[in-house]
Amino acid sequence: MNPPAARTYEIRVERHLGPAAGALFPGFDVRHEADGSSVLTGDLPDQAALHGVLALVRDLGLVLTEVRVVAGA
Amino acid sequence: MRRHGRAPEPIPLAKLRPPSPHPRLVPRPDLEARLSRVWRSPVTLVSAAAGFGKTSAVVAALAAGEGGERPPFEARDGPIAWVALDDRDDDPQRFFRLLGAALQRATGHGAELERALAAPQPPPPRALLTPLLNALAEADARALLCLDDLHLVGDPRVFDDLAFLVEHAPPGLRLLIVTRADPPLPLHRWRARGQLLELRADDLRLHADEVAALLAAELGRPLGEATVAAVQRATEGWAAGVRLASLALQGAGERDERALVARLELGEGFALEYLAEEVLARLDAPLAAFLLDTAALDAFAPELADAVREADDARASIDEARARGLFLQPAPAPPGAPAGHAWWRYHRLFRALLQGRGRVAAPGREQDLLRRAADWFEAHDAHEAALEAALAADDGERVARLLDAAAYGLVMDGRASFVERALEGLPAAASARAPRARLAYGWALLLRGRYDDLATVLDGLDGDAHALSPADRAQLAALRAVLADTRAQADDALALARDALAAAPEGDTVTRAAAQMALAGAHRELGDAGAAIAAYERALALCRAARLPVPEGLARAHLGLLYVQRGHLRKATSVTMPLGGATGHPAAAAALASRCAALLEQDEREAVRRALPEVTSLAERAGQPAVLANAHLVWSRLHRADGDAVLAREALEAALAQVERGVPAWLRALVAVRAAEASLADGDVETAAVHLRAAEDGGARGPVEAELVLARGRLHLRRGTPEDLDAALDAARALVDAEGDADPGEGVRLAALVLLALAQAAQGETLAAQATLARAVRRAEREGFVRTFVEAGVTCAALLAGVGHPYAARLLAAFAPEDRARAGASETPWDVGVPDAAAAAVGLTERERHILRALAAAGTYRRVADELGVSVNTVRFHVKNVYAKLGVGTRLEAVDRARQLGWLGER
Repeated sequence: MNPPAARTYEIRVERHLGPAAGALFPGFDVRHEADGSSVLTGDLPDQAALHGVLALVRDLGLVLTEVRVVAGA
Repeated sequence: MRRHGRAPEPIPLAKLRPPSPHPRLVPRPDLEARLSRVWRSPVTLVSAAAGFGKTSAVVAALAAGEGGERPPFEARDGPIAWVALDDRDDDPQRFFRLLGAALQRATGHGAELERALAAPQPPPPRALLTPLLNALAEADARALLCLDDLHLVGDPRVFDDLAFLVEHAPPGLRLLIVTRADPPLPLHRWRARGQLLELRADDLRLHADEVAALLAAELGRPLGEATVAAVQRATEGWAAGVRLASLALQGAGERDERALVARLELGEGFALEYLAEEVLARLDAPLAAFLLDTAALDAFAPELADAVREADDARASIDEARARGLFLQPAPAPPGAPAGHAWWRYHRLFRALLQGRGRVAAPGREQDLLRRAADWFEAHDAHEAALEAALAADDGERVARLLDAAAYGLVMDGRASFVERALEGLPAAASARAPRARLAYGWALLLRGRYDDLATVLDGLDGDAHALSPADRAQLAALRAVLADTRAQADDALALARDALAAAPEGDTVTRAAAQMALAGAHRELGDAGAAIAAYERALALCRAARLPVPEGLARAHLGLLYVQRGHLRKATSVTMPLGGATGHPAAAAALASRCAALLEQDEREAVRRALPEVTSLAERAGQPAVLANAHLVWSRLHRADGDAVLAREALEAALAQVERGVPAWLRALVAVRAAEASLADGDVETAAVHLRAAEDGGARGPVEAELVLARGRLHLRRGTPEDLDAALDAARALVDAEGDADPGEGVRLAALVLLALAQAAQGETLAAQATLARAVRRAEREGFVRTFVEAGVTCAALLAGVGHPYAARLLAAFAPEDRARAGASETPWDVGVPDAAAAAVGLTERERHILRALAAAGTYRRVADELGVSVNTVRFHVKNVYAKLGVGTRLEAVDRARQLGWLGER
């Protein structure tokens, strides 16, 4: 069974996330931007996984401002 | 543990009870006033992120309606049908089963929906919704259907059917949706029509004065303006954030409060994360540790919490967390969890904050806790909960082991998609150690008719079959047998089904039912109708015992068709009578199509007309080409019986189109045979011959082969040359006289007798023809055959008029009046094929018409002369005149011409 091509995503949310919030996104690096936002960067195997991450963003009440693919892994 | 045909898992009542309203610290009359309009709006959508207080606002508004101090709901309110969804409900069957249970409690309607969807092979919910909505409309029932946490459902089939429900709901039924994300429903349409009442995050936010009131009530003291403003800004009126802030402020000294406000006013960082840290920092260390550990679990009982933490303070910690208002809520018990425990879980948002904190504080501990939770569940026989914990712990080995033990039960409980996801998540090595799980998944695919995927799974099992027990290998053989049968590999199916039956334990009704179905299909394919009937009857009994409505419906359908061919019309109509658990089920459609075929033979056209549209639409929805092909065949015969040749042809085209989509070989041949017969009835001999060749090339065996022989005979009769008539006669005689293994069955034999009679009549053997038909009439009476005679045409009517039997009169009455009139007006049976008006148009006299017909049928001038009681010279004289009037020069041309004009057929 070949998994569909994994991709690297960047997910931008408002506010700087601390380590505890960052730990909720295993496999993602958290980068703090100068404009006060955070960018989460990580590989996800498929769209279903992406939607899982976005649901967590929603459940934490984070304000989502951008989602983009940076590379096909 | 193997359970067969068991009762479905009961619905926990907690899922159907609205949460009790909490005494509200801050009344929100505006919000509740807006919500009280739910009874005026077909749909209400309360959509906002976790922690906005959606559910509590709804519950408070509903409670106010039951008469409190606040203004009651509209006068036209009614009972509440509450459904608390969880992530196991992301499945049409489970979702609508819950919905049925909730509506039943609220309105007394819905039990049927709940019951039907509890079966291992439920009908599609849509088929059950229409009767439910009709019942609700008829009873003028009122109810507010509340779906709490609809965001946990993602299956598009659920939303298709939910949209259908809303669009067709009677005015008394209102829908209220509580969700964290807008559902994929046609909201824009409902909004445009003014059918949608919406409450969104902005409507739910606490205003500054409400924040102040809430904080003051929680803390028991008023707070400074600066603190309130900071909390309001940082949380944007988000109720959960405000609650968290109040927890952080609890026990905070004046200096702590100032520091917290300063931190919040910086506006940096994620305020909730910071507030949660403040809350944890103010707790005693043991309680904080308890919170961090238990946040790893979806839900926990004190016993489970102590086991995973290897501690014994859970009860005290739960009490303290409750007393401090630390977002701890009662939870439903996990699937299969032991009884007698109280279960708890944290508010989603608070749990996430704790989980993140826990991962930072003690990396790797979460996995340890989850593994111990899996141990605990496994020790308590809660396999599914153990499986979920192992999945969360990412423990592939254990997932494989648990899945292997539990998958069959899960599949039979309608949790096939869970098994599928768990299997797909396994690494290949672990998956290889779970052959029984893959076997169980094979059953799931079989129950859903996904044969191609089933083939992949079975191929994958080849290498691991040695790890299976003999009973499991019997299951494997049964699955392979069914697959071979669907691919018309009858010999393989037969052998595999026999292996499966020999090895399957007596109590394994599912395996035995599947093997009997495959066995029966193979017998049918190999042409042994008697053995097929016996196996289908055994399969039917087993399917009923195992509560498998899909193969049960198919067994009934096959039995119905086979019984018709065997001439047992009464058995055919009774065996196809659906189906305790399967009303509205596509499986019932197959059986009903067969039933219609039997009823139509008995000329019960009204009953067929009533039943057939439902059969067709059910089969269309389920996408069953075989059932549709069968149904269209019945439609075609029905239209022809009604005298509408155009519609009859269209229905036949539809049947042929379904054949192209893929049907079993026997059905492909049968449709070709019926197409040939329809062409014959339309007078198109060439097309009929093409269809018959197609049927022969398809390798028709058994009952269909006999039908093919019959159709060939009818084609010969229609051609009408002396050689053709001899061939028709031979074909009919062979079927009439066949015995033993070759016995085609009484249904075919009756049709053969009718064909024989027509062939005899065409040869001028009128008396013999009448005698043959009389024999058919006597045999037809027992089971009420009608259409076999009527479809034979006007010549048959003419012959029947001469049969002195009461049932012959009953049969004659079934002919169209004009056919009856033409048959009655004829002096002799064999000239009725030449239409009077057409003959008159070319100026043929009555005697010349007799001569022409006799020429085509009877052969020599001598024989024609004898039959008409005239001399051979007189015949020659008339023949010359016939040639002249038809503009032909030879006898062959004359017969051809007459045939082109449609004069030499049976009609």
